Amino acid sequence: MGKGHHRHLIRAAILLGAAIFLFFVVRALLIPKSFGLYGHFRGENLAEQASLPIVHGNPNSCAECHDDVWKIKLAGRHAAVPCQDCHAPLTQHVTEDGVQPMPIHKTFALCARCHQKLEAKPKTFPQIDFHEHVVSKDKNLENEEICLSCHQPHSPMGEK
Amino acid sequence: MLKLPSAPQSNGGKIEDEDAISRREFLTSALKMAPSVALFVGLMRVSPLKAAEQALGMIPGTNYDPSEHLFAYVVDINKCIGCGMCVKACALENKVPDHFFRTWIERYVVSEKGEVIVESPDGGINGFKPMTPGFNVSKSYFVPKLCNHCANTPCSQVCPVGASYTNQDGAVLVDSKRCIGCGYCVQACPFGSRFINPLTRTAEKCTWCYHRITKGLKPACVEACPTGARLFGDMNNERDPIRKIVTEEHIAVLQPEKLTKPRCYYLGFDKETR
Repeated sequence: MGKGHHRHLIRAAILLGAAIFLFFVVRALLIPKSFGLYGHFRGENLAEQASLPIVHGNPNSCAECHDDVWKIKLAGRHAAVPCQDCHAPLTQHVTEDGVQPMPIHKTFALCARCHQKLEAKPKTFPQIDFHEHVVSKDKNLENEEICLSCHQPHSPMGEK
Repeated sequence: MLKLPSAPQSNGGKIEDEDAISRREFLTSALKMAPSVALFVGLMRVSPLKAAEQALGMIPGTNYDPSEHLFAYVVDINKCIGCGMCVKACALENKVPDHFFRTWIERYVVSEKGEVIVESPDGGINGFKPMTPGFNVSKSYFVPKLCNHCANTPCSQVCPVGASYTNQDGAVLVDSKRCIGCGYCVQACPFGSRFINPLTRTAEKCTWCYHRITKGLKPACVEACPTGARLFGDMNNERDPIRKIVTEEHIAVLQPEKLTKPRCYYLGFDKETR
């Protein structure tokens, strides 16, 4: 057997070795370190997801400062309505720069979201035809805050 | 498993042709390469994937261990009033770009003859307006929708880079740093729960507000619902009300024929609901 064949094999082996080495180098570079920590994904992502900023506060945290309004709300028909729905997320109010004024929505567009008489709303839910309701009360519908002229938003029908 | 190379045999075997390799020569050389092949196969197996799948525990920076929880979400169709506060809260909480939705509300209006109108104006983020369907309405209802967080999820199966995944606690999440924005998952989801964020160019979807639930808070949509139509809880917690609902009430899931095993359950489900 000729010597040349050995050289072929050595060359092939070197090439294969280099390919294997390259494979592992590229693989190590492409796959993030925490990949597979919890499953077929980058484990660090869980900590990234968990560390996103919270915008809406704990619903009970409003009571810490606004106990008076909180009690009125709890006694009324709007007891289950979260404060941050009609106002704004807590983090817009309590910020790192101190307490900022809380936006207050007073228009009937807000009230209408829940109470406009609509196809598809559960029959038992209190809903009104706004035009009919306001006209029957001899009020002016052009006033956007018309609802608040009769209803106290935190307890719209008095104590339940 | 390792095949040891046999003792070197330099000039054994008959040579019939100058250029041909004898069988012995071939086998010897092949055996010499066996260790490197075995090493290659061995290293393939000891990849970080396998080794770390058992490595569990708290997520760094939290007191939360994903293996201790299994979340479920319940939507009570009978209670939804279509106010859209959940959609608004979701958009604020997760900075969802305008006209894209991680959760949305659909209005179903059904006639006696079986005609169905389904609409979701801007996802219901501003609530719903009165409508004239053009037929006698026999029944109508709102259906809040979100990612179903399927146990057998089609979306993460098609992800080519491992960016979409199902976590041990049941949450289906997207790693935005890993996502290449190919959009396969958007097409794979039969519920239309995913979209490509036009700003980041990566896939996005409901995370059950993962940053909230890992700290013991409810998702923003659940907190925002004034009628209790949306419920969220931990099936591993015996005292969680959601466990009683899922195990004892008559519940349904969207598109059960797709066999995706959603973890979002519906109460008051109608046959027209898609």
